[in-house]
Amino acid sequence: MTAAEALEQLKKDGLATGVELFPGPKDAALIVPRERVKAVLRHLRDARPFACDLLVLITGTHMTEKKDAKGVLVREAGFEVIWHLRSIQNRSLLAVKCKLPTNDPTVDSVADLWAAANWHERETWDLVGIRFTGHPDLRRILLPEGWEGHPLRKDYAYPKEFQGINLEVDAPWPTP
Amino acid sequence: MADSVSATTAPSKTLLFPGDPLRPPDTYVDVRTQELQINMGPQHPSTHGVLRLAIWVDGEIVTRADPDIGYLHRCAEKIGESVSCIQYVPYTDRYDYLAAMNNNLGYCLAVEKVAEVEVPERAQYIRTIAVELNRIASHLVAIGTYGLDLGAFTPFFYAFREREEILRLLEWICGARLTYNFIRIGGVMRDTPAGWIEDIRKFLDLFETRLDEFNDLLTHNHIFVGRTANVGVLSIEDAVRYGLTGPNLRGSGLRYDLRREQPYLLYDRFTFDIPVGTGIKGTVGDCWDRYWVRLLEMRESVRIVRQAIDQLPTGGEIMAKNVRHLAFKSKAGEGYLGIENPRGELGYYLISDGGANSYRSRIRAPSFCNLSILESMLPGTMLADAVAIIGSIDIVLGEVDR
Amino acid sequence: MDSLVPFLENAWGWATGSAFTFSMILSVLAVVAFISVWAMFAVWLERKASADFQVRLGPNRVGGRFGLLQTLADGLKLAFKEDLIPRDADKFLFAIAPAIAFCGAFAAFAVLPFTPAVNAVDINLGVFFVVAVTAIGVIGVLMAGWSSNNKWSLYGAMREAAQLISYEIPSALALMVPVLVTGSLNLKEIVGFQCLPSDGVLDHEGLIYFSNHGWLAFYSPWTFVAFIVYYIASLAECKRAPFDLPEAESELVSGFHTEYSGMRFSFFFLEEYGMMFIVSAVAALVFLGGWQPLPWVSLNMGGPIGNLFFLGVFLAKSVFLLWVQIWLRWTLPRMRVDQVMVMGYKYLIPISLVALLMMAVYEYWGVRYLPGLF
Repeated sequence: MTAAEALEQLKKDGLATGVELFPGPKDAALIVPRERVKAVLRHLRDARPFACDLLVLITGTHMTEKKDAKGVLVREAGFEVIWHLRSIQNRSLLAVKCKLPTNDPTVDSVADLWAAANWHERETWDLVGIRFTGHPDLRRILLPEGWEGHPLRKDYAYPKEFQGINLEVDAPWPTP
Repeated sequence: MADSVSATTAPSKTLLFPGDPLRPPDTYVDVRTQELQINMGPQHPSTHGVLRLAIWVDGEIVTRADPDIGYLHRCAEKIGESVSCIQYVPYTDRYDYLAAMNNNLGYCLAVEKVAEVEVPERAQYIRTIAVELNRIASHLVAIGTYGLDLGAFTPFFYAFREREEILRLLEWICGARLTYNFIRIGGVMRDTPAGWIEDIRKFLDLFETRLDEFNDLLTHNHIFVGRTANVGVLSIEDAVRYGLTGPNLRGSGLRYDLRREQPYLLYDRFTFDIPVGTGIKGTVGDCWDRYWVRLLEMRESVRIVRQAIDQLPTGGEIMAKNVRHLAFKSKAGEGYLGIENPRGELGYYLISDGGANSYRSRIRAPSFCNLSILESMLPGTMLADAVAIIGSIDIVLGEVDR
Repeated sequence: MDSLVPFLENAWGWATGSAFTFSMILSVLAVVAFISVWAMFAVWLERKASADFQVRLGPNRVGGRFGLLQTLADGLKLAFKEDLIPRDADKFLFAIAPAIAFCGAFAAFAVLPFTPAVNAVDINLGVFFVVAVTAIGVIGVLMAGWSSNNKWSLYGAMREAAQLISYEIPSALALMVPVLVTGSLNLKEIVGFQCLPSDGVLDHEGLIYFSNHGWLAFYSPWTFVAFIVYYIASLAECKRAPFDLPEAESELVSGFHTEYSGMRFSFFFLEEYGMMFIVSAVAALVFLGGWQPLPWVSLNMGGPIGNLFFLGVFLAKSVFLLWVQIWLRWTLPRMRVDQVMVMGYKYLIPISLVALLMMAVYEYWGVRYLPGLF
């Protein structure tokens, strides 16, 4: 099921308010407004035509503003979260996108829909800093507790020190 | 221990259990038992790397488990944003280091999808051969170390004897034994050396007979079956809910393999079976089934390699034209591509804004998703079963932590 | 020792007290020397045998082509290693635990007859003494696990305690079957029973004579059952695979001796290999005819040559049983703790009880193989 077909089906099911098609040169995706993400994802999981039972991946991306040579905006600033869903019955892959503002990267958690989302959301919070409301246990997963910042943000500055450990790349070796 | 037993009332003359009808109710002694929290890892023989499991145990029974990962974290996705996609291929070797070919392949296919590169047919066949040989090697490690986890040392050496042959073949073609960097964007690094194909044939003939040794030594061993059958039973629903893929999902009985579902490379040209767990020794989806699926998959890989060798076109390009520009600029776009790694679905999601480096390169590591099920699988099992379950999930920490 | 004391008194005219002391010291030194050399040999054998099973070469550099001195080199390394005691360990218990564990294995050597003439002491309670004294080892292991202040060690020690106490019962019960047949707890007399001439008088016999009883393992179906039960239970007592739960490398890191290093660690090592010898030797003595090379056909030999020959036969049998232990260890996976307990309590104890009961009934009927036939 391609994204366009999925959008048609969503329209039939009456859940397409605000849902757009992300055309994309390669993979098409559905763009869902932030407040409707969870309802749409739940529908994609439960409704028979979709039956997206396998959550493959949750990706968070920090988007910085980019203009091309003519000054046309080609990329808006903000955050993007993408859910890749697979349907085992339909042998299909479907991507669902959600755009979040830079100052408030918060979206509903789907950890209660797919248990797999638990760790993916923790990782996305850890590395990109997107907050998932309703997540049972939103801790850092790969980085240690107490780490500052989210490394996959484009404005991330590598810390100089962590809990007394000198992290500077060019720091001189301690002399005895 | 004195502090855990506090006498509440008058002298209780005998040791009567709480609930003993002979004992008057006012002489109960409050015997508080305490759960013991033990740290399994990060330095532990059977966590297969630097996984730390905080385990709460009540005697020998695990009551709670909390996997703590990230000891090997290198922020692979950040590296992907700082180097060009051609430079990034060697990094992918380091994630799932037991199946580095597969990781190369996954990344290269994703880049080729986004950048629209056509790969010559001969290169695709060579890729298939290398990837399937690597899959056998990876499963051999999984099976050998699984025996090790359960206290059987000898199968490990048998597995590594076969793996050594595969590593020799792969070293012959690319010069490395573990981190190959053989599959490049647009093709493969070099053509097959003279005699390589013949040696693979010889190896496959020998290997098929030697697979039976595993059955004699480990698979049908009574103790081994006792340790793995009916242990760590995983239903299809749970496996799907936790996003498990690969042999772990197939061990639960679901015939789902990306090589068949969404054929990449040339997998639609080969005939092969997808083994699933059927609960021969116990329940469908137990540790033995997952082990058995891996064992059978090696046979299927042998079949695939044989067919690929037979169909391998003589002569022809092994590298696509016009891939060098990828070092400087790429096509803008984004795409996800998942392949069947020995451990499950390995996916790369790339966003390119037209520059040399991808704007975002997200890795879907199968071990990461497979590991998350430990939290729900371990409670209620015995400590020894916990080791059996971790081993049967077959994780590679380089990939979990990235 | 029993023969050495009168010899010293008569031939050299020593006083009884000094002769006794001298021979006692000599026996102790002999046992220490034997246990060390034995452990070295057993470790070497284990390495070579496991290498053979695992398509490897094994030690082949130190001490010639077959790496005979590899164990000596490793022992020297252990002797020179730093003796680490964890900061929060109970230092006193931690220090003496290896010694106590070693004591059990060491003391049991006192009553083992190597040949008709060579043994340290000849006591009438030989079998009982071995069973009792080897059980001391578990105290040392418990102390080691507790005092290490390490949760893994504690786990290993608790498993060890549970396992040893459970398997003492079947192994002791299994040993009771031959004791019932021979009517003696003396190890020498048990061997003597197995090579007793058919007419009962040894002096009439020539060099080779026929013995009606044969080895006790083949004396009756029930003694054979007892032999098997004893061998399995003794594997568990030596903490050998598939019963190596107390050490369970892949689960408990290294079990009770996780925190030990250097010589203290090697004492646990010696204890383990000493125990392996003791259970093999007891099985050889009690069930497999001791120093007699063949069942039913016995040799009547004496003097130094005869004793040396008997010693060789006895050691060969022990080494064979040890080799079977090694063979099992490198072939089988480890059992789970509840499976070990199930095996002990649900199978081995009932089987050994039935064997004991049936042997008693057979003895009462005066039959050996099948009631009414033999």
